[in-house]
Amino acid sequence: MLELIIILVMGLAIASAAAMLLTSNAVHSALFLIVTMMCIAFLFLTLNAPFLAMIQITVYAGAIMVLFLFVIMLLGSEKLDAETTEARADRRYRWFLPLAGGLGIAFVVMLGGVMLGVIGGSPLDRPVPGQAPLLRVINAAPDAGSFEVHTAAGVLVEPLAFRGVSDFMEVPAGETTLMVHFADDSMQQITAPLTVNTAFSLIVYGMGAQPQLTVITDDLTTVTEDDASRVAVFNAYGDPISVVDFRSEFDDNDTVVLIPELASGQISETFYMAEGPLDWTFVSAANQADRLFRMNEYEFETDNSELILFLGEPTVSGAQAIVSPVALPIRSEARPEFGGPRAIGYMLFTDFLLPFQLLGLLLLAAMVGAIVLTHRELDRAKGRGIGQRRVVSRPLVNVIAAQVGHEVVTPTDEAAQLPETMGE
Amino acid sequence: MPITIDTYVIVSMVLFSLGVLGVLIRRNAILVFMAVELMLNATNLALASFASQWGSESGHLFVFFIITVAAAEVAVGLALIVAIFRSKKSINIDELHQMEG
Repeated sequence: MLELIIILVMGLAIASAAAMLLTSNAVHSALFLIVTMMCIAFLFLTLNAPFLAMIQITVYAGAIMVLFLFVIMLLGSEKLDAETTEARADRRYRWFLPLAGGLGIAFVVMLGGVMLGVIGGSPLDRPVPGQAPLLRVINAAPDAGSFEVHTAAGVLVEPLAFRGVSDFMEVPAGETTLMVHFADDSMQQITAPLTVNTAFSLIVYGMGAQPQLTVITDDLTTVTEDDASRVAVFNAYGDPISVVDFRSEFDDNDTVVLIPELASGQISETFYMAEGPLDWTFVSAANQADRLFRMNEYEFETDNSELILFLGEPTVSGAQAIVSPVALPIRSEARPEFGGPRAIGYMLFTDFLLPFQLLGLLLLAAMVGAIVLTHRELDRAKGRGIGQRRVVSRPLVNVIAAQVGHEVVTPTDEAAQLPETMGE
Repeated sequence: MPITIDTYVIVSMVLFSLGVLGVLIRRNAILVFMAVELMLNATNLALASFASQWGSESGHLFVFFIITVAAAEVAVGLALIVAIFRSKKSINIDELHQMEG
C-alpha cells in the first residue's frame, strides 16, 4: 500500500515538473513547482528525514516560492515567454530549441548510465559498511589502582584511576585482544569479538588484588519509548546483590523488587525508566534487610543509556580497610532518532559548526546584495548624470506651441502660486 | 516492484534532467531560475536517499545547507531580475545579450 503511494507521489512529482516546463504561464509554472516540492517533501518523510520534509515545505514551498510568485506578479511577466517578445526572439534563436532538447536527452542518458551502472561498475550495489565499534573502559576495581589498556595497535587508554570512565572510542572491528597493564606491572587480557554498529564497555572489577575483566554490550540505539531512559545494573561487587525500591518508608508491604538476584560480574536486564527522581536501594541478595546502598533521588533524564555500576569502595580507617559499597551511575547519551531535529541539531553544532557559520555570512552577503541591486537611488543618480531630466517636460511645451501657433512662455510663477490661491 | 534507494535515485535523476531541459529551453529568466530550483531539489532528494542508505546524517546536513544557499541565491537572483527588468523592460534571456563580445 505504502509502496503504491510512493510510486504515485514519484509519478506526480515528475509529471508536475514536466508540466512546469510546458505551461506558457509563469504563474502556473510556479504552482506546478510547488506541487513537485510537496511531493519531494513526502519522499523525504519516507526516507526517514522528517526534519528535512518540514524544512522543504516551510522554506522551499513556502518562502522561496512566495518570493517567486511575488516577483512574477510584480513584473507582470506571466506571459512574457509566449507572447510579447516571442516573434522577435524566435527568428534569431529558433535553431537553439532542438539542440537544447538533444543535449538534454544526452544528459539524461549519461546521468542514468553513470548512476545505474550501465557505464562502468554499479555504485549502488556496494554493501553499506557499518559504523566502527565503540569501546569504553571502566575502572571498577577498588584495589587495583590505575591501569592502562593496550591493543595490538598500541595504547588505547591512558592510565585510568579507580571510578574512572573513558569516553567511547572507535576501534577496529573483529576479534580484539585487550591488554590491561596495572601499575604493579602485572597484566591481564581478554579477547572480545567487537562487531560493527555496537558499543562495548570493558569493565575491570572485583575486590582484592586480582581484578577480573569482562566486556559487556552497551545499547546506545535510539530510545523508542516516550520520555524514557534505558537503565541496566552491573554488579562489580563481590557478593550477589538485589535491587529493590522501598516505595514508602512506613509501609513494609509497598516494596517492589526490581532485580531479585544479580551475581557478581553480571549485568541485569534493561529497564525503561520514566524521567524523574528515583530511589533504588541495593541490598544483599542473601539478606534483604542488609541495606548496602541507597541511590537518593537520582534524576533520570530522557533519551539516555544509563549503566549503574554497583561497586565496593574501600574506606581506609585505621589499619583495616572497610569496604563500603556505592552505586556509580554512568550516563551516556543514546543516539537521537535518525533524521530528527535532535540529530540534525547535534550534527550542526558539532561537526558542521564552521559550515553553518559560513552559511550565516553568505546569507548576510545575500541580504546586502539584494538591497544594493534593487535600491532605486542608484538608478536615479545614474539617470541624472546622462541628462534625461528635461526630456519629460519638453514635448508638452512643443505640442502646446504647435497648437497655439507661437512660442509659449511657461507660466512658472503663476503655477507656483496656484495651489495657494486655491487653498484660500 | 519493491522500492529501493535506486528508485529514489532514478526519480531524482529524472527531475534533475527536467531541470536541465528547463534551463536550456525556456526563455523567461524567472522560469530558468525555477528550473534551477528544481535541479537543486532533485539533488536534495538524491542526498537524502543516500543518507538513509548509509545511515549517516551528513547527507541531511548537506540538504539543509543547500536549502539555505538556495534561499540566498533566490534573494539575489530575483533582485537581479528585477534590476534587469527595470533597465531593459524585459526578462527574456534571448534579449539580454548586452555582454556578448
